[in-house]
Amino acid sequence: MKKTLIGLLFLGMLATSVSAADTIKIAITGPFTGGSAPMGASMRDGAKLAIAEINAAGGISVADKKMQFEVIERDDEAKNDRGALIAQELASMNDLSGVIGSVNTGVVLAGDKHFQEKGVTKIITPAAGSASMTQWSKAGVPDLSIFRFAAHDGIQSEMVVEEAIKRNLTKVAIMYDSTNYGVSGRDDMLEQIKKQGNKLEVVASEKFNIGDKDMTAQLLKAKSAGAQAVLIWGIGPELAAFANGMAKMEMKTPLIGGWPLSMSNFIDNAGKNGNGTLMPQTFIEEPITPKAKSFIESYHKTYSVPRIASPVSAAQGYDAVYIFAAAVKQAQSRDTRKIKEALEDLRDPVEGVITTWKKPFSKWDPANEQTHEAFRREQVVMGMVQDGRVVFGNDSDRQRLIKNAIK
Amino acid sequence: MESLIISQMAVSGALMGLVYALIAYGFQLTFSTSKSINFGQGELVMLSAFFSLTLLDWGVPYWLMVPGGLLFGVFLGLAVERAGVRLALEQKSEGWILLTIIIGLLGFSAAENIWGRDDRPFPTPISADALQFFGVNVTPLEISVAIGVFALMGLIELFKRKTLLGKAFEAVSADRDAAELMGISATRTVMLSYGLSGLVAAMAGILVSPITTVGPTMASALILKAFSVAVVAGLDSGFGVVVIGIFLGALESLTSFYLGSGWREAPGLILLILALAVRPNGVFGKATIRKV
Amino acid sequence: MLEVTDLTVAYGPIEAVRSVSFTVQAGTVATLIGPNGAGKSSTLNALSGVAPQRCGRILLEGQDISRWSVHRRVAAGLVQVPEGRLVLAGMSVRENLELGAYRRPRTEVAADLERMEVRFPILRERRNAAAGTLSGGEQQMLAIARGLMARPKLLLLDEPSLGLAPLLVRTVFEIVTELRNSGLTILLVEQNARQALNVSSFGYVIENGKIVIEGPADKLRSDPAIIRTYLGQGV
Repeated sequence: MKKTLIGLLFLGMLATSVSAADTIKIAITGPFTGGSAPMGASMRDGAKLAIAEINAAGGISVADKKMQFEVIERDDEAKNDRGALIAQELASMNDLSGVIGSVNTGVVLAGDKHFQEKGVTKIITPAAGSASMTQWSKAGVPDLSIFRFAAHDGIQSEMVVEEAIKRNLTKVAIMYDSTNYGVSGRDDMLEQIKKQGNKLEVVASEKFNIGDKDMTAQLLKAKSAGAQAVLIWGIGPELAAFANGMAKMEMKTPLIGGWPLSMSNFIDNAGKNGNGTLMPQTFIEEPITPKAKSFIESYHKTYSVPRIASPVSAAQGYDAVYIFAAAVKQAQSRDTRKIKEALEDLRDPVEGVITTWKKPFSKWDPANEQTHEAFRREQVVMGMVQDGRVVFGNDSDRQRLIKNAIK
Repeated sequence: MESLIISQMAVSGALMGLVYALIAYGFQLTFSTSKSINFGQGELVMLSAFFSLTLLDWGVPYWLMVPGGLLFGVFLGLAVERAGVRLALEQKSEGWILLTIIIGLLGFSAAENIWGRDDRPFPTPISADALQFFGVNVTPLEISVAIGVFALMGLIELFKRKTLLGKAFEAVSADRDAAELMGISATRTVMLSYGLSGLVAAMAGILVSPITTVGPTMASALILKAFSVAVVAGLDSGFGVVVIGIFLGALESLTSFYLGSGWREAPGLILLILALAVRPNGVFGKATIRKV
Repeated sequence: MLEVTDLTVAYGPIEAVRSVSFTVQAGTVATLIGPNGAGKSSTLNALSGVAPQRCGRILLEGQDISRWSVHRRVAAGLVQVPEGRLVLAGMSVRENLELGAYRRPRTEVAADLERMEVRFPILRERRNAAAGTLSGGEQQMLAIARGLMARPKLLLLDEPSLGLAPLLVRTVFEIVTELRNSGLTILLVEQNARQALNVSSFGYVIENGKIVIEGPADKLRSDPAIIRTYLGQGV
């Protein structure tokens, strides 16, 4: 009896390994429900769009075999504990080739250690918090299986400060939420102000809490101190409370901040008061290049939506899959460690919707986490809210991208 | 400039304070008839707001949505009374405390599952463009909150004083046994009070949503303040809740300006502690001595 | 009119009234007399439904009302004027009267109000005053008038003379007599046994929750035991 059972189990394992022989298992994780769902679901849908394209074209040739991608989806609900559980589950699968996803830096911090422990390759997108990568450089790990594919906060704060200086402003107010994300955003901005020559005077620095609806106090301080711009680090609903409060106080000063200003719960809740708000973006939902045009059109068609809830997340999810696929092809293997090595040294450029990626990553150096960060300043543009969508904030960015595409 | 800032902060805060007052008034309504309150009142505010938003999504015009949302609030209030309060009161137990909390939690999960966890905008035809009064910026939306609060409280007070049913309501509040001996059903009056408090909660939800957006947690902060206001003002003075509500709202706003927004919750809590220590019946509360 | 059998009233484990039985004939006044704490008020309160009835049967015009709610009994014509008056102090005299007629059709109320104000001129005079500002005697008038506004078939009067000056006590009993003469059925609870027996046709003496003596009022008035215990000092 026992023997037959073991035999059956063995047969079963054989059977699954046979049926799975021709697929590359890739997991997509993120919040698909709840407050961060616009980003999580857009990332997932962008990634699945790329996977569908690759599979429809016959898959990837690995060791003379055409292999298809097989997707495992996990909803972490933006909860750290869920994220940790999911990471444990995925890390224990021995035939998983890689993981793409995570929106919330807290979830990344809770889960990624399991991937690193088992050496599972993960591409973080679109979570932008600096800590996701600095945790590994601080720990000094010699080898890292985690990559990031998002414009991290360092780049974003650099651009926010740059934008204020470019507009010839001298006095700014800094507003930040009381979470890790907000506080480190403030520190990044202060550091950037110093770095860029102390051209900005911070006349007010005010904190707010998640759930605050009335920002009159903070705004009045900024207004009475003569701030010419409000630089802000926070998440959708509170950002909207600022935009609405500024309209009420008749503050016409620009609102500039991190990329959550492009979240639909900012754009919808702020309504027309959100117009003119500026934030760094890696992708603008405007068909300015043929590649962008086909991506936007097929996204709209596939998911029957008139606009992408979070274009940045969708485009990053899409490009992350193509970069991962390129690594599989170069490694000629489904083995997650070999894919990691290929990612650190991609020979061929990967044509994505954001840009054409040339060597996005390099061999991990614990002294420089930029080695596993794909985005540099030039891949990021300034976006602006305009009547319910995000458009280019500076026409020069737009022209540059069009020119790059022709080149 | 300084005095202008103070008045701007005080006015903004006071207008928010009126919402606290309205919710606190809902506590008073049920406490006066039954010596019980609905600890899930915040969920009533939130559920009514979501329901009203759904009506708008269905294409119901704004001014028709308002009575619809209010009716829904009444329905919720009655449901809470039936499911959570009546049996406990009949058995003269304090079970209503736990039951109303549980019903509130159920309402919260229901909202998360039906409408999701996002904060959503609540469209309104009332303009949010600022108007200036003596240098203080006020939006028509904020003014509509004040009008709504005063109108509803005024109507309910009028109902209590001018109609037979309202007087019966007052009779039960004043002396339950005496009222029963006049043929007034205390049970039905308690039902009525819960219906009215649901109405008040729905009104608070409809008024505040365009300013704060609608989400499952929209009322969690509001309800704490409202509770402070009710306790500080005393559980039997409608006039008191308005005064204390305005006072607390303005105080909070000034505190967050001068001490930082992290201290925003402090005045309400300190007032609550002071009130409980010094005047347990509330600043406007009457000591309950019955003349024999 | 009223037939009570084996009525027991208990507050938790404490039995205030134990298995009492009595009747009140239509158009007559019956009285319950007895010392303080004997269970007189508990009996009345159980009849009106305010006090918890443990067992027994209460028949009003042949109908068992022992499981009815308070307000339903009021609607059926069983109206109690409670001890201590319990007027609504914050409301006007007029509002108190109106609420007394809460279960009556509105069309009949105006005429009844007029009648009460004619019968009790003080209530007309103080119509808009808060009931709490009235004197004790005036409040008692108001309480009785409020009870009458419900058009009772059976009026339960609980200690109407309690705490009143002698002159006012006389007035109260005059009113009771008058009501009796108009054909109203009354069950009167009083410590003032002499006056109570004077206006009643039948009496019950209750001690320690039990009826110990009962009989026609004129017989009780001449009962030596009663004279000794209840009528001795007189008023």
